[in-house]
Amino acid sequence: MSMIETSMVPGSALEVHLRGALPVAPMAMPTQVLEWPRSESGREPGRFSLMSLLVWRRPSRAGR
Amino acid sequence: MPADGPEGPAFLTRSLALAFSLCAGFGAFALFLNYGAGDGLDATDWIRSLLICISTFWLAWGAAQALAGLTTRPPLPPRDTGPITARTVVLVPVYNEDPLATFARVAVMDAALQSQGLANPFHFAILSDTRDDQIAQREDHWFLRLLDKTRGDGRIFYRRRAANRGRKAGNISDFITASGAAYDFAIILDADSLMEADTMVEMVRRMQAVPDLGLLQTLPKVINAQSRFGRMMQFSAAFYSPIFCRGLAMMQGRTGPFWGHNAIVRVRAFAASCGLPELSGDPPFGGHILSHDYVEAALLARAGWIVRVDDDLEGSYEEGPGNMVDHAKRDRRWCQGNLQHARLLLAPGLKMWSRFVFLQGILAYLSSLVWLAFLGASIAAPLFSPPVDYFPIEGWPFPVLPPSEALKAIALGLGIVGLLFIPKFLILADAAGRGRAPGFGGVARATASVVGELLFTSIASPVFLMYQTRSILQVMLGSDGGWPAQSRGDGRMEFATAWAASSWIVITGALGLILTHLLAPNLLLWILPVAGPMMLAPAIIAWSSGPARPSSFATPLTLAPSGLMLEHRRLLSAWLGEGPDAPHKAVVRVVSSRAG
Repeated sequence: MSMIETSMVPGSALEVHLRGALPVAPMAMPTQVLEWPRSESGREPGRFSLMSLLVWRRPSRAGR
Repeated sequence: MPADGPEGPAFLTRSLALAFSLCAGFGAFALFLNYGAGDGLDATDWIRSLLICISTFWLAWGAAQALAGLTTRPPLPPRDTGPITARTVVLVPVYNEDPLATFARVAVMDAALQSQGLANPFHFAILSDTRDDQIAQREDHWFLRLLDKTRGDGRIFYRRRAANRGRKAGNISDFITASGAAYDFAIILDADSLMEADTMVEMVRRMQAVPDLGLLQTLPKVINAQSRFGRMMQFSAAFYSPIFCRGLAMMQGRTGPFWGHNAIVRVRAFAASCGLPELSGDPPFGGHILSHDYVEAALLARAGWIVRVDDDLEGSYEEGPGNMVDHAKRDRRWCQGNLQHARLLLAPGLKMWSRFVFLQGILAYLSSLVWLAFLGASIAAPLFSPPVDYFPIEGWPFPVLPPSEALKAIALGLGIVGLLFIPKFLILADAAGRGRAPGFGGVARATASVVGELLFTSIASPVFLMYQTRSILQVMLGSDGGWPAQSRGDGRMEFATAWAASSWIVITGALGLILTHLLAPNLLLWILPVAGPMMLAPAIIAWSSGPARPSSFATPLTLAPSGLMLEHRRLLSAWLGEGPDAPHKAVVRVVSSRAG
């Protein structure tokens, strides 16, 4: 069953504005989890640790 | 949520390809170690053997994909033959593109759907992320012209975001969160994409037939190339890519690829699975996910949806960069995106094949670094190898010459070149045998095109090797390449511009040659095929950006452009006579007259 059939019949709530305004038909798009939660030590268990060896990072000034 | 299904054939093909690649890699390792042992093994021999093992594995993996494509055939995908009941939106994200050419594409695609009586179930939405106000004004102008031409009020939409958060992936998700519920499927295109109405309808039929199919990718053919470089890329995409794609289709199982455009997605699946987070930390490894398409494919598969590439779907087109520098610029973006995937290799819940795809994408770039490290180690090796002992037998008055290991090195070199060349010649033989060659001008012309393409890629590879190496180093040193707009047009590049873009490659090549002469003069002949093209980089770039002969590197679409392509050219010419696009006339005229 097409979603539009239930919502875009003539005179329905689906609003199509003149001059190209997009249909108002919201759909949730939840943010996905791609990183493991940080442990108490601050390290991400799932993080590719080799990157910390390969990537040169500018020394932080925060500790000075 | 859809359930997982069996992946027997895919598992078998993957296993065979992996076994073949591992055998080739370890074979090269053993052969090189044996070669190095001729004058006594040292650390550089072990390092070089390891590097050659990785490089050969990677080349063999590509060859295995071609072999799988040549020897197998995926089953015909199911299709719904009933009426089109689903509502589909064709999304065209734009970012500082030429609106004239893009909007003309929308007009001809809409006209093609209208001619089949299918305008109603298909809408178009042009999603602008353009930041340049002048281009945005032209977008406004040409959108009104588009509506007028197509009578597309209520079917064709245009909106411009105030802030382009999340770049292209953010642009799509912005549309879905605002309007996604109005549609069952979304065909995602690029600004330079073109798609036949039959192809769009066929994709919808295949989506309707398999309720747990989340994404269906086509293999777009490159069209409208005018430069020598562009024509060669166009030929490669038409001649080799379908075979490689078929091999990929055999390996994919339920976890196929998404290349970001010229694909259809089930909106409900995409919305539920593909909301991308920002990665912790700063770019280039943190922040927005740059190569979002690979990640979206992995997320759909993680949620149990099928992701598939159907190699038999024709009528899907895109345009490519016109010269090597534009290609390298695009590659810089892809490089950063692929290396960023290192952060996601161990992301929670992903399918093993998705992780492997990330690894492949990373290796595609790191292999350049591996080759360069191999060359560097070879040049430096004499510094570390022990002096040759010509009198190894005590009391024996005559010198004993060490056995020559040159044959082993030549055998290894031929094996590596074979992994690169043999698949392409097998594809040529396949095209001749199965009647595909006439589409490329016949067997003789297809052979000439293959040989020409191989010669050019052999010369151009060292230049790309350097560009890729620079990209990798920039990313690893923390430099963010940003989001540059793509260069379109005929791609012509004068020598002076090419020199400015590649003088550092010339200098690096010359230094490499001098270093080889000083440290390892016996390697000069081996290094010359790499250092020579590097020193000629500006000439190669400028020459290859020049206009190609219309008959060169023929493809089925240069010999007989489709009706949709011709209609696009015709409309482009017609629209040039109107509106505020006078400065663009020359370029588009060239496209109209030369393409094909």
